[in-house]
Amino acid sequence: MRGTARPASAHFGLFALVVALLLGLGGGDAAEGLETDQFFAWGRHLEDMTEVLNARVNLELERLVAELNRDGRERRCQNVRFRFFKRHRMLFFDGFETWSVNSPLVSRSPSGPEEMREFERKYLYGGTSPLFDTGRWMPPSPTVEVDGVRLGTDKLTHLLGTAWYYHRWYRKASLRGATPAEAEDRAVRRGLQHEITILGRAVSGVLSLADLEANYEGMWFYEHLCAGDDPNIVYDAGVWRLRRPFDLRDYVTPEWDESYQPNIYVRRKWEKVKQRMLGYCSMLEHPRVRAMRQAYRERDRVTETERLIDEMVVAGKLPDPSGFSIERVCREAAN
Amino acid sequence: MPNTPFAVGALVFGLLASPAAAQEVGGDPPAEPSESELAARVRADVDETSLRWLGIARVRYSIPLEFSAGGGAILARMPASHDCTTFCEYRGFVAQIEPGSAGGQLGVGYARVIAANKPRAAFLNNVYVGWSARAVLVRTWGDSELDPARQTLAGFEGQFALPRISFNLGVLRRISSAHEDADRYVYTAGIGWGF
Repeated sequence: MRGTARPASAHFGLFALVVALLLGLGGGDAAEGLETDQFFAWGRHLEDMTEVLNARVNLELERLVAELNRDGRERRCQNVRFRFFKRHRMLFFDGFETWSVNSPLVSRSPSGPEEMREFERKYLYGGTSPLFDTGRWMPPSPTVEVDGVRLGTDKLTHLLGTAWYYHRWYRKASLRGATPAEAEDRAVRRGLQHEITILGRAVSGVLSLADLEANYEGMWFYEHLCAGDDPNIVYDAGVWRLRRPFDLRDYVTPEWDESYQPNIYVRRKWEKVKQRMLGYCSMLEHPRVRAMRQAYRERDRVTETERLIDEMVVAGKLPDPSGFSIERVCREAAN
Repeated sequence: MPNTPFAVGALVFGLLASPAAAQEVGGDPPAEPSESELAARVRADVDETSLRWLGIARVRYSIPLEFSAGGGAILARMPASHDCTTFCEYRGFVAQIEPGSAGGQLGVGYARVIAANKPRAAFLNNVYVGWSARAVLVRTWGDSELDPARQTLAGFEGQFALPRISFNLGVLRRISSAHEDADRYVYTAGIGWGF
């Protein structure tokens, strides 16, 4: 290259100008968000997708079994787990989630261009800056209904994708001599730290407890995929077979619904989300919403994730999630 | 959606329409599909693929093109029923031509990108994440900083894209004649928007 290049400062200036222009251009055409919004689906009819989503996951398990049988030999369970994880892993996204947001077999909200436009207007995180809010740099996850629970399709990524890492932490701790309870505790704590830092609150301003619930359940999915008393896949008489089909009902709980299990927000985000949430107060009396939340309460239990969050709240390391609930928001607004 | 085969669309339409038809005839709630029927529908939805092309565009500042704007297409095989209004994964062949203030580039290669496109739009609308590896042919001109200013180079370029920003790095080898002191290799770098 020529030695007599333009002065470095001129180059830097041009570079900075380009970056500023690009960020500005990008901000004008922002994605709707990384998060999911179950409030938007309140009062909207959704078909139960348990069997459809089960069929999709079981198709992949069947294909994994066929792949293992083509190899024709026994493999370590950890290798089988990784091969399943690899089958649906994509760039930052998960194949099951990608399928569920696109397939005409999946009843979801929003769905179709018209409802997408409405969603863009009403989206819970829509009041935040599309330029500086990194949470809005990614697409939204529509809501689906599984076993009576409304959840974002992102939970499929958490259950079958992110949970792979949870399981690795769990396994690592087990291999180092931790008891199952200790290993579980280490994995869950590490997962929480990830959600607080690189995956959640520090990046998007949202700590999703529902995501943590799905991660936790997914850890057990991977643990029992090919090991334990009741595995999904077994190697039996020289043949791999799907012994027990995958069933989302084994994992999904009401805590996966982010309109029921409130997220924890950083202050800058909460002020804007709260204003949008207020718009749903009247919907709390909607018969479908009331019935759904009543059914949730009847199924609700204290989960491992909730125990850990409670511990963090008592230690003053996290704010109480109940302060971010729709009930609290509406009650405060009424007073 | 460009070039989605009609036959596959009809298949999906037929699959979706079948329970509704049952309801009209019998007056009863639609019969739930059996487990094997459902599995067959899901399998068909996953396996019925079509080749689609979508336009791609980018603007960037890079060495040696300086300010440039590129246009091209990505050709990817994907499930035929996917509308991609939320997002899809496009994996396949990419080609792009990119004139700039100090040179022009022609690139072909392989790309993998998660992106969305508006209904009936011919271009990718939002690129969420992606990468590409391209073989490129570059011709510099005008006020190029290379010595000599006008030369032809060939090489490889890797691109990584995130929302709102994309980066590229590469290496080019001069294939046109030049004076003896001229560098044979040029390392390229750039930052821009789009894919």
